[in-house]
Amino acid sequence: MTEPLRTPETAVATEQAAAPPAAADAGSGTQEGWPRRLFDRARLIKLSEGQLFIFLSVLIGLFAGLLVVCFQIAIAWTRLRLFGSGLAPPHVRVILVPALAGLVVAALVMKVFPRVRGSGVNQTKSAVYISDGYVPFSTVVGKFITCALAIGSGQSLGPEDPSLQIGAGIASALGRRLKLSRDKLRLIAPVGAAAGLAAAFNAPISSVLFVIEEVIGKWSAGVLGAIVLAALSSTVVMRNFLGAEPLFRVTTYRLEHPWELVAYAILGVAGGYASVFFVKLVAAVRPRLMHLPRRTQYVQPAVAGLLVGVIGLGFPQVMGAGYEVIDQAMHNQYTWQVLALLAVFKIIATSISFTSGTPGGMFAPALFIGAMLGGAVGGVEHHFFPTLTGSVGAYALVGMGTLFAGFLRVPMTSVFMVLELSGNYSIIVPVMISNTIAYVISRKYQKRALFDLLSRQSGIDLPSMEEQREESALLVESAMRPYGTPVLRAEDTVSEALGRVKSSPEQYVLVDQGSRGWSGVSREMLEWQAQQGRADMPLLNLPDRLRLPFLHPDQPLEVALRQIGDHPLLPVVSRTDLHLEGVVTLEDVLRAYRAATAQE
Amino acid sequence: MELDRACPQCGQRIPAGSVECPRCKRRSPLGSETILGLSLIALAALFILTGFAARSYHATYKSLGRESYARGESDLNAGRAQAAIVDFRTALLYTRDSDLYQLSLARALGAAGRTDEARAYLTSLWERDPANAVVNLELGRLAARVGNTGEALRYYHNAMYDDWGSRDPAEARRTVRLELYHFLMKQGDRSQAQAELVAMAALLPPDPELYTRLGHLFLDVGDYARAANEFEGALRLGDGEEALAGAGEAEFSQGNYRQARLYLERAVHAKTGDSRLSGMLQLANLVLSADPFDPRLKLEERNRRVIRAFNQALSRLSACGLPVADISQPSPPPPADLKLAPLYEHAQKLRPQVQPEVLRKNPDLVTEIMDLVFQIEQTAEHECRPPEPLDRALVLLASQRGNSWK
Repeated sequence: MTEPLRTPETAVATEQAAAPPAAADAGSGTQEGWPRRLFDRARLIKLSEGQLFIFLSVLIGLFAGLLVVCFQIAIAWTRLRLFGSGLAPPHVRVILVPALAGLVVAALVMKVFPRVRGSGVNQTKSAVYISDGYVPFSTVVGKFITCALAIGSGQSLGPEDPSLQIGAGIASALGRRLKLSRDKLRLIAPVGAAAGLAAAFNAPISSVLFVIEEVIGKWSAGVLGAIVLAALSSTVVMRNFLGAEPLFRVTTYRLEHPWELVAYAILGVAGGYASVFFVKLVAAVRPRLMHLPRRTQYVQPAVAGLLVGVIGLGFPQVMGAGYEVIDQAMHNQYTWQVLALLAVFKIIATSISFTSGTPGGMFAPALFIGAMLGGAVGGVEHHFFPTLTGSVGAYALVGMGTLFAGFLRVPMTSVFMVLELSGNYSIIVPVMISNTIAYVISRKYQKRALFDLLSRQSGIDLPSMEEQREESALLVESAMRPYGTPVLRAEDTVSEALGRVKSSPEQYVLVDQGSRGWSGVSREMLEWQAQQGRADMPLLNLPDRLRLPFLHPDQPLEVALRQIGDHPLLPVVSRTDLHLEGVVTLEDVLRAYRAATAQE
Repeated sequence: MELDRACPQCGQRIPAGSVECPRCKRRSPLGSETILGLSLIALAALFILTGFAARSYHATYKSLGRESYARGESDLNAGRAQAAIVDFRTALLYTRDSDLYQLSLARALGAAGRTDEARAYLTSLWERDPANAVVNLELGRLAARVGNTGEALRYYHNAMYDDWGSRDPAEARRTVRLELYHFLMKQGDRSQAQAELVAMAALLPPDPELYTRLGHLFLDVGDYARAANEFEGALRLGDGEEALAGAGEAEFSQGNYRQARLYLERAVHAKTGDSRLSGMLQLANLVLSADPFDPRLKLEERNRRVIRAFNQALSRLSACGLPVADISQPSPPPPADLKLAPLYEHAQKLRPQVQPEVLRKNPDLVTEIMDLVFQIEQTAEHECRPPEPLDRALVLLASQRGNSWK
């Protein structure tokens, strides 16, 4: 619960009381100028921390949007300056530019911005879970410069994850300067992350989902509004400056016959195995390079750049983020053989670039590989079954979602991303089929999701959102046991009550008070009251009767733990007619937890 | 219990229960309102800066796109389709959503024979704007190139009735219809081609040149009546020799030889060196002078023409290898495999009756003789060597009278 720093009423009252006569006169406009009056009035407006958080989320969204626009422009400028304006740059440049830029990037990472390595997603998660939402502002600057140089020079990486971290960094800096509480500071980084990602992706819904699915891990009403506001603000800013067009021009799609879903299921299988191969390649190469002597890290990005340049001689499409290539693939501009080769070489090039420690994101490469793979699978299927109506573009689109689901293991985001990018609801069924299959295959052959794997390789044990999602919540019903004693009524006398519970094993008995809920009384207390000559007193009038909260069987067990307090037991009642279904004691709750732990 | 923790910014220990690091707190004496105000100022500054950067970025990209597009257009006009493809692709790299660049790329791809890629681009353009006439026209051309008549018809027709922007829609529609007509003629679909011409004729502006042009197209498609209408329309609007020649040809083709002669005489007079027109005029004269069914003819003249036609038919038979002996001599039997054999025998039987006196006494014989003449001339046209001018005139007369036994 957020306590207001000062309520508006008290603030106004305090200000008015404290205001000197001159300041009061200023309100009439006779003594001082309008800037001063405006400032004074502005000072009277005090926001609670919750309100400030919401306002701040919009501000963060605007900042993140502007920075991401600048970031995208910087990447484009870098590419233009380094490779020239032609479609196919000279071979010398293709080889040398990524290598030389890699040297500069490595020097910057090693000497100036050591925290900018990696994609940015795990760094943002670290900020949330380890350092109270703290993302140094130098990371924002470093990420901007190094990623613009790396991606602009042709390293096979994308700008989305860095944008996410830039947004988180901006949010963290603003939150710190505004002295937000520690709880709010922890939440502010994901707000910025959503804003940054939304601006980079031009897809606010997917960005919000990704942050919830991968960074926060749960739907929290307290932060959801702020995340949505920030994502929307940044998207509006980005569209204002760079245009409202989606990242890819998506061809129309219509499923003509349910049999065609089999074709998408095959794409799901291919996407699942490709995801596993990609993750395993990154997971195998990265630790080896990380454990090489530190001095080699000065040249690793350069060597990676050189290798990517060599691949780029044959397949220049794999260099950089490759959005325009995805767009071309979606418009049937490559044969399926070329698409398949592009998918393979992009996996290799991205693995090289990423594992070398070059800062940059994995989103764009995942989309690229998915689109190429989807297009290739679609092309092969069209070759053998020319009656299939789905265009290669439709397969490429579904392929993007498929690899997103299999590689990044964010199933919900992957579905909504395709919907948001295509603006076509009819594609949802193929997407869901393909994504689900890819996700299941990826989980079967690769136990840990990519981001979890990377954080563990870096020696950080960040919470796995995938594992968190799958933790089964223990419910009250798993601890509840039958109540083997007659329930007493409030109008029963002490002697009647003693008679009814005589043969009961329970030492503490429940009293049903009808519409006034439940209470409990110990057998000892009943006996003492009888000894005191109050055998005819109705239980309703007993002074030591304890009112009990009640539970429902479907409530989480932690609710029971919170409510049980010092009560010996709590009644568990049905939601329909509030009749007693059982009881729980602290011992029952603990036993249920122990049993669950033993099962795991 | 809450423990002391290290400040993530400076490493200083933060006492338990305290939210802020004491050192960092000292460093930032500014209040929240001031920070918020400064943030808004920074936001405004960043907004302006981004605006400049974005404007410069867009301007550069637009200019690079334009340069590449211009290069592509000149390459395409020079027939260098492959180079044009690269240029247009480069242009699209910088101005991705330009319909004009995409259209040009599709044209270049089509010109390079990469029809699938071209169609993909055009289809995506069409999906965005199905009422774009140029896109429909290009799709129609693409379909025509691969011989898909149904698709070509659909897209060409779409193009005709879609939005042509600043271009004169009537003129554009005519051009498109004309293109479709040529495609249909190439495909051998004359009836659909004729339908396109009929539709075009209904919307023709009062331009004699257009009337003449359309008249020629009707001639090509074999619709001589409409062709004659168009040429006569052109003559009314003041067109000269072309329309006269066309009208003459149209009337001649319909069998209106008298009318044809009128037009052809004037046309030959205007275009003295045109041997085709002269030939046609000659033939028209010959047809008119050979026709025995002209109701204005006197009996003697009619009989003379019948006898002349019969003799011409006999000489045609002779030219076809059938021995036409003296009337007093018995003729040898004709070769059995010749299609003309029964006609030959019929001619031999009639021959004694083809006399002015007999014809005068028996006028019904005229029809029988002329039917035989027409049969001989029409059959011989396909069986024997090229006919003489009078043979051709008789064939034309036969067609005019509807005596076709083919």
